[in-house]
Amino acid sequence: MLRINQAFKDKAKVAYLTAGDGGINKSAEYFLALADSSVNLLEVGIPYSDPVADGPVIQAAMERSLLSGTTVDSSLEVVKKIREKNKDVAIIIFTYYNPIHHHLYDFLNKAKESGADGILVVDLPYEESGNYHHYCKSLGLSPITVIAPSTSAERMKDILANLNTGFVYYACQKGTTGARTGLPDDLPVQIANIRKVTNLPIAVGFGVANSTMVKEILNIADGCVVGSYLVKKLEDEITPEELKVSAQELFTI
Amino acid sequence: MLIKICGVTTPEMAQKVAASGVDYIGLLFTKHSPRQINMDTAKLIIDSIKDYPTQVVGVFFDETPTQIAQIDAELGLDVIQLHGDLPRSGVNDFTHKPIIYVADENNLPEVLNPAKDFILYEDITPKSTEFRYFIAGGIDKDNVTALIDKHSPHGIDLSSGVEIERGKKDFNKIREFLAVVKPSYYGAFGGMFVPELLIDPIKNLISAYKNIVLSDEFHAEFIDLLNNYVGRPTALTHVKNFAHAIGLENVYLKREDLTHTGAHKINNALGQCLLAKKIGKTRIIAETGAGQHGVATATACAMLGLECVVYMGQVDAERQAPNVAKMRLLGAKVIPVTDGSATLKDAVNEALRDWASSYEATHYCLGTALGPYPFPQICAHFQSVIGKEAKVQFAKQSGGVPDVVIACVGGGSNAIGIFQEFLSDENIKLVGVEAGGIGDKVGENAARFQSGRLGVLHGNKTYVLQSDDGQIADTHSISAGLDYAAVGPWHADLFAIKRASYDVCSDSEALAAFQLLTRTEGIIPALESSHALGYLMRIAKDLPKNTKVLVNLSGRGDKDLPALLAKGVLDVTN
Ligand SMILES: Cc1ncc(COP(=O)(O)O)c(C=O)c1O
Repeated sequence: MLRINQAFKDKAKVAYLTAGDGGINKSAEYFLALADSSVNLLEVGIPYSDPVADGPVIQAAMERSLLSGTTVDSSLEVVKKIREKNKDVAIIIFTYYNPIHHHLYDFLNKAKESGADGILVVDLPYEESGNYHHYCKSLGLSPITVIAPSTSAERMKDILANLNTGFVYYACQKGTTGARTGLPDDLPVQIANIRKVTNLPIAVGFGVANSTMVKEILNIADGCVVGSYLVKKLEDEITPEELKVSAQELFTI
Repeated sequence: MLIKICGVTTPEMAQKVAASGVDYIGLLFTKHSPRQINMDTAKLIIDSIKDYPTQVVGVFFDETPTQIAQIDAELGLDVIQLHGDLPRSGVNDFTHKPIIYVADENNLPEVLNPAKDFILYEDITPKSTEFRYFIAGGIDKDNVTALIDKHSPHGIDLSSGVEIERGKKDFNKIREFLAVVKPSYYGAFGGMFVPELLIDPIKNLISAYKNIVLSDEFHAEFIDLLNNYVGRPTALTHVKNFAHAIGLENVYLKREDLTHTGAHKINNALGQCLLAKKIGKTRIIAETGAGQHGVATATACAMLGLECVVYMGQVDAERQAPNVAKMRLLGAKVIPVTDGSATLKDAVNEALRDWASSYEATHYCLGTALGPYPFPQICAHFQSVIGKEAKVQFAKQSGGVPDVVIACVGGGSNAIGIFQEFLSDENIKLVGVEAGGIGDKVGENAARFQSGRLGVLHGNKTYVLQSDDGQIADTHSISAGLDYAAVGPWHADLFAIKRASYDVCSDSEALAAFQLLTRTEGIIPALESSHALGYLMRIAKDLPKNTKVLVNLSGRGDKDLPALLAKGVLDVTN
């Protein structure tokens, strides 16, 4: 959790990749290469057969990863490999609920042990979260909460009221993940609205695909998340070094 | 919200309560309680719920710490609840277990640990605390909402509020209570597991359902369309020849094949499109498997002047080609989905993705009784007309009620449509029939109740065919409409509480039934509906000859003919 705070000390530069995309070992190398660039928070996605919140690029990455045999456990293995080599970078796990709900506590426990600092379960809204927040708290994992453009002010207040760890992930666009050409006009207003109800730092993501967008976001928010833009690069046999250069260019502000 | 039911006294009740998703049951050993049980009963109760996640709480009022430890050693309790001074004096002895500590005006003992223990506030106002807490004391379905608003508890402890007389729990009362506290659930199943983005659109749909669909005005308009556009009521046909051919006498078919567009799907599609229009949506999206829901939605949209986009798995589009042409003729855009298994599940994925960017002007007309709440409820509501009509018609024609009601189950809409009306009469057997496909192995069928396990797919918690690692499994059925990895949450609940049973019918049994009904009655059934008939053919020999059977014939088979003829599996040589 401290690592997440550390990442937000300056501005958090958050990069998403699907775990196991390229195989377990290569995948860890990609993440480590990102952590060698200005990226200071890694989002490790557990591949899932039916990723309804994701657009074509991440869907394809999940399919590649599953085809190469990635499991929930081997995704955590990727986290472990990253953590063995890099003690400082913050790591959060991104997942859908079905692969983890059966053994929720055990999964969270293993996630923590493998070196993760936080977790984001994309299809587990506040209403359904049950013991999830309690488990996270007792294990010292930050549950990362998503706010969407459709989230009402009242609901924002309800959701964020009792959260005092991690960060708020503002998914700033409607639709699924995937590169967009620009940022929505209401972004500053939305960020201001979120700040009214929480002191947690705010990272903005969804569709971020060039350094202009990164700059604009980091001007008004505390962190910026890039996913599909980087994942897309893994479709071709890119080297970890090349990925690092891409991320460096993207996040240079 | 955690739910605890205190003072369960029989294994039968414990099993039903656990199957309904209750988190904790409390057992009482105190002599002065009308809910007291002995150790043998306690063991039976614990055994009856061993397959459920429900935890067993030993509730102690006047036992000494030593007695409590003895009872725990014998039963292996999950949680220890300490009331009264004597039990509470032993709080130090139970630090290895989760404790529910009943608070009084004194300070909480230091040994309690917020990571595992709970506080219970009975008749006193919860103090703000780092602990998770239950509230208790005369809570029932009428006062619970206000109490939750006032105290924001983590859990509710129930006892007398769900009893029919002192010490006697009542399952109906428990279910009514759960419906108030967890309105998006059918017992342990359902809910709304969707990304944050879709929560607001779903909440809008919930209010539209309550305020518009359930209004008299809307109902009148809907019924008018059903009668004068869809052609309802549909017939109930006593199929004597078919019955004789399988050794029975009284087989009745509810003829949803006679509706406009040829399947029950129109009831739901028309209702939802009418609702969409009322709430100002201009565009409708839908998924379809067999194409019947797609055709029904395209039809409703043509009539109501709405734009229509239908997602359909590529595999399904090929095996149900006539329906693809029909949808396009009706003005709908059909988008083939090539991801994953390219069947119904993948079509639902794409429709959900579309909705996530289009919800402001678009209604997602989900075609079966599943998905995030309120979709299963809306669909079940619009399909309930099937059972309502059938019950009246059955009484008129046969002079009574059916002994058994049978329907095929894809997502579960035609089945829940006919079952609902018969739920309250426990003497009527309800049987849902799933696709047995070509075998028992994962990937060879769509038998969720046979080999699925609890999961979350497409927004609801239900039985799902999946790998050990929680990846959704591929499915197979000769019928596109049953070829799906999950099942509607209401069915999951009926299965769990044993109000309905679910069985399978294989591809070949369904084909045999398809041909038998065609030849004996001149009715060509849909392949989906043929599964209900194929199951009946298989079990007929075990039924008394005069058993009164009601089968929901959910649709007609025209759509299946080209693919079946091309496969050469039908006898057309004469
Ligand atoms: C004729 C017919 N019956 C049954 C089904 C299965 O769906 P459900 O279980 O929702 O009734 C379909 C689905 O496409 C169908 O077209």
